[in-house]
Amino acid sequence: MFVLRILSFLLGYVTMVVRGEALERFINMATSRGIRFWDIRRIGPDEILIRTRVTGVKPLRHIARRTGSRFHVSERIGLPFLLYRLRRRKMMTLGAVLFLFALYYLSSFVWFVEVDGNTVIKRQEIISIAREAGLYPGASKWRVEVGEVEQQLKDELPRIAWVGIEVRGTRANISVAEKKLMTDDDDSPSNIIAAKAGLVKEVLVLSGQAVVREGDTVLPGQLLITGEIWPQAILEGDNPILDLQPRYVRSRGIVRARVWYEEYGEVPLNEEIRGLTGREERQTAVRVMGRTIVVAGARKSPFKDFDQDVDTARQLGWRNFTVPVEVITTTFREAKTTVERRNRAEALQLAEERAVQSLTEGLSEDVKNLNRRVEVVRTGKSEDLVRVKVILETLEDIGKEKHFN
Amino acid sequence: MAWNEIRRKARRAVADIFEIPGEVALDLPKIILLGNVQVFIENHRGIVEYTGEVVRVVLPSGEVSVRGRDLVLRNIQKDEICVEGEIEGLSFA
Repeated sequence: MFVLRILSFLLGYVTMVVRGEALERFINMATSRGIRFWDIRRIGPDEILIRTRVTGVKPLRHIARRTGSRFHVSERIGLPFLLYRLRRRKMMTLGAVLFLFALYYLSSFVWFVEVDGNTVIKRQEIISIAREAGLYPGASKWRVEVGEVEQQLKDELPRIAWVGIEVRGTRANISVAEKKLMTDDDDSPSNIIAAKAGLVKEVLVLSGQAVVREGDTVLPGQLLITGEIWPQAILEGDNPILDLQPRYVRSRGIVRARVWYEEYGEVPLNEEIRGLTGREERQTAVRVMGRTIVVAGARKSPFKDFDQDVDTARQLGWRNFTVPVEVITTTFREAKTTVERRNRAEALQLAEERAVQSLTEGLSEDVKNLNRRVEVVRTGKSEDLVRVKVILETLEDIGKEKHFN
Repeated sequence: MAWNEIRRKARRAVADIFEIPGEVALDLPKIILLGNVQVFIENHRGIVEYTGEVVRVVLPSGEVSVRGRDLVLRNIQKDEICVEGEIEGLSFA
């Protein structure tokens, strides 16, 4: 049916008003001769509206005469009529053709060059090298040799490990991957000092000289391994040689110590918890010249208690021209406050969990937990709050390198 | 007349035995109603009356009339008619 409609459009069809006494006979005669009619509508006691193909109009004259009816065409629809009208409006046709041509022509240039993946190399640097290699806004697409531009970028910027250029539409995207260089390999002499207070459990010196021994208590900032090494002779004091110079090295080593942490945690017996319910509503607004107009979605938040995310679309622009229109999408998320009730035992456990969590958050992965002690803090008053103190004992490397001159 | 009657009965019997669709063997119209919005008549012999309220169509035997409001002949061809509108009733004569 749909295909027939398209065919009718291509061939052209007309709407016409038929007036007469024996309209049924008119329809029967026409259809029996193979003329297709559709959308027949009665518009008056002796008038009907008919649609038929252009090819059927001529033989209808004969039928109309025989049935004593008259018709006139009221509407011409379809491609042949459209073309006919276009032929009379030459300038408009020319304009349409020019427009299509301009669209095609302009789309054969690169208009935007974008860079991503660079962290150390400057965007401007990449763009200027690409420009020298022939990729710049305004370059025609078939002139740009993507492989060559890539090669030139790789040659001129040795820090680039890989570069890929993708031209999509009028946009060229340069993706780079930078080489990872080893940084801060400072071999100047250094000490290792304590970062935290603790009880030294083991000392492993790779280079330098240990200052503390197992069992020592150290304070933050205290020297653990020194990079200043004096010759043995002096230490022994046996055969003192004047004018001895110490040797300076970069200290390396591990000093494991037992470290104690303390954290306080509290949990009320009745706690108000605010959480998102998952229901959300979106709003789209347009900002033009300082005015904000809501285009779609809720005007205000439909929820009593809510959080909202505002997302502003990046402005379109080219060179120093920007479109002064911003699209702002706001998402309202419904929130709800519920009261969580728990007994003392549950609250105690939760308080401990929270305290431990806030403790371990700051610790690195390779810290070994040895021991955990929980103390309930009593204030003497009766209150709906459980307070705990958690003492955590860990074994960890407390050394921190510090360079000296 | 009697001869015709005998012929029709025989035809129906044969059609029943071989399970041939009625519209093929007996020259009956096939009428499809789509709710009360569209009626599709196949194997017709032309229209007798068409107004916005009633459409009467000639069948190989007799006539069918469609009553309703705002009736439109959506499509009309040599052997099929499609009537659209608010259909109120369908009767044979």
